Amino acid sequence: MAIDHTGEVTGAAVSVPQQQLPSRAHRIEFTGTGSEYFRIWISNLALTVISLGIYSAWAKVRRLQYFHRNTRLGGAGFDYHADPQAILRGRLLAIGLFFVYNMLGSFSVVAGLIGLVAVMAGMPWLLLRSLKFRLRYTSYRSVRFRYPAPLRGAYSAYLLWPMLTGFSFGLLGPLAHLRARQYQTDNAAFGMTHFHLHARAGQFYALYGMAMGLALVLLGTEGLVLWRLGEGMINKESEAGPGGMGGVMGLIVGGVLLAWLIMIFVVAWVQARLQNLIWNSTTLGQHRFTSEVRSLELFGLMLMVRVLTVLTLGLYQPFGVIRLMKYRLERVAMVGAESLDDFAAGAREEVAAIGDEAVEFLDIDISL
Amino acid sequence: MQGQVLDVLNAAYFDGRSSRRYSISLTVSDGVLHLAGDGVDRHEPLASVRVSEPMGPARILSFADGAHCEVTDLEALSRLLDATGHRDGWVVRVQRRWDVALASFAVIAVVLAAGYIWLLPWTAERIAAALPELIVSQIERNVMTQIDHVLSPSELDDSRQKALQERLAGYARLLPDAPPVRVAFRKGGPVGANALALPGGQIIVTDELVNLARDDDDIAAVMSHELGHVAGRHGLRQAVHSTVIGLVVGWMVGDFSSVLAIAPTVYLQTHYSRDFEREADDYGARLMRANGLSPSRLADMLERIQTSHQPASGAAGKSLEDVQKQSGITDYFSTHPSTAERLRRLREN
Repeated sequence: MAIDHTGEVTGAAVSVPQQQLPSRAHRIEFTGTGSEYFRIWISNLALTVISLGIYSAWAKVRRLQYFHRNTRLGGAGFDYHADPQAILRGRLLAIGLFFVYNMLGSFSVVAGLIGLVAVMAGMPWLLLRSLKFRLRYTSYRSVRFRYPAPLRGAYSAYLLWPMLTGFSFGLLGPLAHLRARQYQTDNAAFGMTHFHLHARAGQFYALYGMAMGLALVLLGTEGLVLWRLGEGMINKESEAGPGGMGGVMGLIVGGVLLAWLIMIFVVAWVQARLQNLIWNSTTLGQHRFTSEVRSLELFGLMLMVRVLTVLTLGLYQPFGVIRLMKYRLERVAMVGAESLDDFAAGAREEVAAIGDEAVEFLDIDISL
Repeated sequence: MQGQVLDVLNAAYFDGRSSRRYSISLTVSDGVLHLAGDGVDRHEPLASVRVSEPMGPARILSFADGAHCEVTDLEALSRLLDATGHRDGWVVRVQRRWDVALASFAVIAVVLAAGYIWLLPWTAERIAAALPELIVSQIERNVMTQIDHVLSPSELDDSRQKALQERLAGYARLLPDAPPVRVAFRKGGPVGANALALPGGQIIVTDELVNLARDDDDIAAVMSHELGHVAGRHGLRQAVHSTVIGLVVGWMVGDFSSVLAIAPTVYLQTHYSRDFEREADDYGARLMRANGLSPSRLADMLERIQTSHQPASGAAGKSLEDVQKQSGITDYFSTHPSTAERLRRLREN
C-alpha cells in the first residue's frame, strides 16, 4: 500500500507557502505485478484476436489504466481516461491513411513521392496531437495534464532539427535530441503548473560522446581479442591438421553473442543516463525531480527480461514490461514542498485520437 | 438500497479543481452516496457514480464533473458495492482468472497455428498474384544487383546461351500455362553449380551447372524445375512468408534487432520452402514428360550438383545416402526437402 505522505498536513495545506523549502522527497511507487498484468495482457490479446482487432482499442485503455493506476506518488495514483471508441476511430483512420500512402507508391513514383512529402510534412502535426492526447487523458489527484504547445515548435523540433542533423552528418544530433525533449517537457503542464527542462546541450553531447566511446572501446577490445584467438587457432590448425573447425565456429558464435551483450549494455547505459539526466533537470513549478537509475542494474534486468522472453516464446513479455517499468519508475522521486495539494487544474479540451494512433501505428517512440 | 446505512468507508476525495487531497468518509443511504469530512459535503445519486474496475491498490469512484474518490480499503468497498447491487463488466470479472488466462493462451495458440498452416500461405499466394508488375520488377532489380555482387559474368559464348534459352522456351511452349522464359547465365564461383529463380520470373543458371550436365536436356531439366518456381510465384510468396513470420516472431520475442529471433524465423520458413521445392519438382517433371523426356534426368542432375558441392576428399566414393545420414540434423533445417526423398519422387514417376 502507498504510504500517505500528505495526510498529516492536509488541513493547513492551503495556507502553506510554496517557498517553505527545504522540503521532502515523494518517491514514485509502482504497485503493478507481473502475474496480474499477465492475465490482463493475455485476455486482451485473445479478445483482440477473436474480435479481429476491434478490441485492441479497449485493450490499450485497459493496459494504460493498469500502468497509471499502479503508479503512485504522495498517497495517490495516476489515472488514464481516454475513450476506447475515440481510440478505435483514430486507429481506423491511421490504418486507412497508411494504406492510401502505401497504395500511392504502387501507382507511380511521383504519387509515392508526393505521399512521402505529405507524411513528412504531416508528421510534426501528428506528434503534437499525440502528445496532446496522451497528456490530456492522464490525471493525478483529479488534475489533468495538459500540452498547450505551439505547432511551429513541432515543426522545428521534429522536422527542422532532424534535417539539420542529417546535413551536419549527425554532428547536431545531440542538440536536436535536446530540442525535441525541450519541446516535450517545456510545453507540458500539470493543471496550470508548467514543467521545465533545464538540461544543457553540453550534457547531451557528453552523454552521446561517452556512449560512442563506450561502444567503440568494448567492441574494439572484443574484435582485437577474437582476432588474436582466431589467429592462434588457425596457426595451430595448420600444424595439427583439420579438426579445429569446431573451435572457429565456437569463436564466431561466442563473438556474435558477446557483441549482442555489449549492444544491450550500451543501450542500458544510454537509457539509464538519459533518464537520470532528463529527470534530474526537470522542474514542475517549485518542485524538482531526482532519478537514480544505475546502468549495471538496468543492464542485468534488460538482459534477464530478453533471455526469459525468448525462452518462453514471448510469454514472459508482460512480466518483463512490469519489472522494467517498476525499476525505472521507483528510481524517480519528486522533491519539493511537503504537500502536493496546491496544483490548480486547467481548462479541459477534447483531443481526437488520430495523432496518437498514427504515431503508435508507425511505431515512433516519442518518449525518447 | 432499502434505506439502511452501510459501513462507513474512509477515502480520499479530489475535487477536480486542484490537487488537494481531502480525507473524507463515504456512506450510502437511499441510493445516494454521501461524502463528508475535511470541509466536504457532497451527495451523489449512485446511478451517476462511475466505479472503476479493480486495478492496482485503489478503486476510483468518479463523478461527472471530474471529481473523484480514491478508496484503498478494497474489501469494505466491495461489500458496499455488493450491497448496492453493483456488478462489474464481464471482461473485468474474467480477466483476473487464471483459467481464463489459460483459455486465452489456447485461443491464441490455435489462431497462430491456423494462421501459419492456412491463412499465411493463402494470403501470400493472393498477395503474390496481386502485386503490381512495377513493384515486382523493382524487387527483382534489387535482387539482381545483390546477386551480381557475388557472381561474375558468364564465360559461355552468346550463341550457346541463346541455344539453351531457346531449348527451354521450346519446351515451355508445350505447356499452355507456362510463364515467359527468361534465362540469364553467370559464373557461379563460390556457389558452384547452381540455378535459381528470382521473384519476377528471371532464371539464373551458373556456368558450372552447364559444364556439369551430360547434355542440354539435363540443363533443361534443371531449368524446368526453376520454371516451376516461377510459375508458382514462389519467390514472392517466400518474401511474404518471411516478412510476416519475421514480424510475428519479432513481436512475440519483443525485440526486432534480437539475434535470437532469427533462428525460429528461419526454422518456420523451411516448412514452406520444402513445399515449394516439391511443387517445382512436380512442375519440372510435368514439363519434361510433355516433351517426351524422363523426370529422372532432374534427379540425376540433383545428385551431380549435390556431389559437386561436397569437399573433393570427403564425398569421393560415398553414396548420397551416406552423405545424407552424416549430415543428419543439418538436413532437418535445410530449405530443401531431403534430397533422397526428392530423388525417389522424381524417379518413381
